[in-house]
Amino acid sequence: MHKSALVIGSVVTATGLLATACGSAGDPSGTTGGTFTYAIGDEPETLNPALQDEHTDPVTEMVFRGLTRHDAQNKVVPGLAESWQVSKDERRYTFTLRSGLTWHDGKPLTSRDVKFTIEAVKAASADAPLSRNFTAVESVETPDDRTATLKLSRPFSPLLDAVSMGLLPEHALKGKELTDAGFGRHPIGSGPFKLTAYKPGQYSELEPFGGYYEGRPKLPGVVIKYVSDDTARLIQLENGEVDGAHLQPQQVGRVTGDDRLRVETYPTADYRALMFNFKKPVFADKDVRLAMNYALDRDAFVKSVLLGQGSPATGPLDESPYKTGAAPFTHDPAKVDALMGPAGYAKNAQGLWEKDGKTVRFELTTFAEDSARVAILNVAATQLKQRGFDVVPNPRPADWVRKHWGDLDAMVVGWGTPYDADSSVYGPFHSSQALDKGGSNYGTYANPDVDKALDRARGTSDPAVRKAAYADFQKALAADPPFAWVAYLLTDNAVPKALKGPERRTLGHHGYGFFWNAEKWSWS
Amino acid sequence: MKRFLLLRAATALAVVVALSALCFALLDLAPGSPAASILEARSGGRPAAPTDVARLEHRMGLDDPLPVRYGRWVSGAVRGDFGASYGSGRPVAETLADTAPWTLLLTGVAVLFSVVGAVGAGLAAALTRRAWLRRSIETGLFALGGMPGFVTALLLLWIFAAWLRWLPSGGLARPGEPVTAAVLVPHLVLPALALAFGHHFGTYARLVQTGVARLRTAPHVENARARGLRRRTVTARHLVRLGLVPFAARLGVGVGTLIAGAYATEMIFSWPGVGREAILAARQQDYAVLTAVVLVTGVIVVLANLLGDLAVAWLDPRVRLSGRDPAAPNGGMDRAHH
Repeated sequence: MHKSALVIGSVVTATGLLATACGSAGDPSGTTGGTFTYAIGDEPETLNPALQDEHTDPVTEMVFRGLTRHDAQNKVVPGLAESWQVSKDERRYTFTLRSGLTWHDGKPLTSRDVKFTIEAVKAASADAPLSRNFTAVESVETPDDRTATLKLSRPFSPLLDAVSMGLLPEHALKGKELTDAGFGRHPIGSGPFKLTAYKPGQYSELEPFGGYYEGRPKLPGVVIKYVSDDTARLIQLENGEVDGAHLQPQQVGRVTGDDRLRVETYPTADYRALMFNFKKPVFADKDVRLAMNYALDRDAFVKSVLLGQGSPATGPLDESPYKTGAAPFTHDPAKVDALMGPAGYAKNAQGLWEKDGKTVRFELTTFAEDSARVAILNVAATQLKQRGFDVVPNPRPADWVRKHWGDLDAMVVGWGTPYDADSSVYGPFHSSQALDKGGSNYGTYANPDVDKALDRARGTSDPAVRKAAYADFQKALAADPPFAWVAYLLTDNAVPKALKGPERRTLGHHGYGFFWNAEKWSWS
Repeated sequence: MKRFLLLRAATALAVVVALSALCFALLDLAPGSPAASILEARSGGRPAAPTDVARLEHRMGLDDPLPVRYGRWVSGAVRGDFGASYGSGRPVAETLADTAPWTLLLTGVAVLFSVVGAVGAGLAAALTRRAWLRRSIETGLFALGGMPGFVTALLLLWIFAAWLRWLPSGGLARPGEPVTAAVLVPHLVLPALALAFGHHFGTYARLVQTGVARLRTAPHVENARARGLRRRTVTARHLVRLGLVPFAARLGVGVGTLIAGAYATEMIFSWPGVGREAILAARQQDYAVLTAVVLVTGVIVVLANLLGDLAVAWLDPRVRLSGRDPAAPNGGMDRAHH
């Protein structure tokens, strides 16, 4: 019967296709001893470290090195520079490069590259957000190949941190824009791994660099695969197509049962908080803002929204070495009542705090595209409403928010970097950085004590003075909170049990920084 | 036939030109600033300072009036220069040359799967006398028809990549492996199947089935049978050929949806095609890339419609002879008054 023949024919065709397909597929990549293959969701637009703002992607992290770097405690330690001296007035930084440094293409790395990098980033201004770190640098002198002297117009203590940015090769970029697309795809660095292939949308392939100043890394190779779909990434991890992967909070439970894998969970300096706009009279009273900080049940956020992959936040420096724990914010409904009553508020018929006929009414918004932030927004609105605050939850498109920073009432924001405290807190909290002045203090928060402490901390590199200054800063912030802090995020990465070396460190956005010590990784 | 072809080609060209202008204007109306998006991307999502945004907009020439920018774009585009990506600085033409072939391959193979599968299943359901077979095919089509494309994709991933481990779950090849045909084929199967079965497959098969079944009692078929033609000849020449017309007409239109589907499929399977670029560009508001991608997509859709029309003309002699628009409702099927 030809009808059946037709049916059988199509089935045979389909099976045939599958069968040819199956011959060469699916065998897991080498478990140990070979290249380490790791899947991540985000692919950077460029591998140029000067265009990545303190959240360096794994490839850029491994390909480049700066004059300084950070250790497991995020303290500044020598990188390409073996030592440095700071003049007494803190306006001269003299770096001495290690001897015999070379770029991945074999060319010698000299102080001229230092000069070139700093001048190029500074000149790129708006193109490179990191240029803000070098505005104080007046000139760079290179008395010899291994010495670079930076002259500053004013003391700028985060400078040692800033020069951890990957150094750029003058011979590859001279006469080109900093944003040069060719360099962004085929970068030449001096880090422990050398990029041998970059297939956009697919993967980057790296091999250990024999000329690295700490010696050739032990891993025979690293492949970073870009798999943007969370589920597809998990499948690749489970069927062995990749050895390791960045995980979403809800995926951690699935992987912990796998006896080949181990989950590395690290803290991050990336926090979520409710930002208040001080142009709105409703936030004028600091007792109201204090009360809201006591109204939030942070453990509930960590449990329900972050699925355990987070920790309660009480301030912007909780993950910093400068943390003092000045803010006692916990979930304390009694404290809310104790603050609101004396401030002149009383509960109305709807159970909302009211003063002179006005409730504490404001719209809480965030980027509607970011589902994690929307979840935080909804839980925060519910919790605050339960405690008598008249919150209207309303996520809005990111474009709207970008154009209306000055108009919105309150917003779920994310902030924080693991590096120098200055880069985490000066922008959002110093009054000179207010929105109208073109800065990133979007809530137009102004507090003279905070300003004084931030300036003091920035103007010196004396650790004791900075410590005291940041203690004052945290105290002032806790007494007059600009934000209601919610939680710090944890970041999870699955790696094979046989992989030795990944070391816990407080990381930045998206858990970038996991590969910070990849030069020490090895197979057991 | 020649006139028909010329007319179609001229219309297609006009559509592409109109599309470029429309696309440019729409992107201009879209809210938000590409400069702000770039700076936010570079700082890991941290909001950009308004002064930095303004400075970068000026550098990118975004503060010029719309007609100036469109003129600049057209004068480049006719020379094959679509500008450079706002984010990476890479020339858009280069990106397209790298990615478009992969999307064409993926959609091409998916169309093939879709046609073979839909014709196979549709004909089997239409011609079989076994009720159980027809019913099970119909149930299967119903289930497929109700499933969003990305669910089909994830389901296929779970079954063939995660559970059976027969097929790789994404990419063109394993990292470091050269992309040869033998490597490419297994990597292509899952995304192509997902694309084929996740987008209107049920509709296609049903169109084949009803198209053919409806003709079983049509006068020309009865006539052919009465003339004593062999069953096989009647089925092949009079039943199946004409019965495929509604499907062929719909397929030409459906390629547009298929390409939209390819965008999502490429993201799930890490397929380095235009779709991935488009979605990333949309997120970043990289209008240079987006405009070009929309244009290329438009050209592909227009071409596919053209091919669909030609297929209908080939299948249906009435269209071939009269130059009627086969994409009109019923595709000239029922009103056979010639």
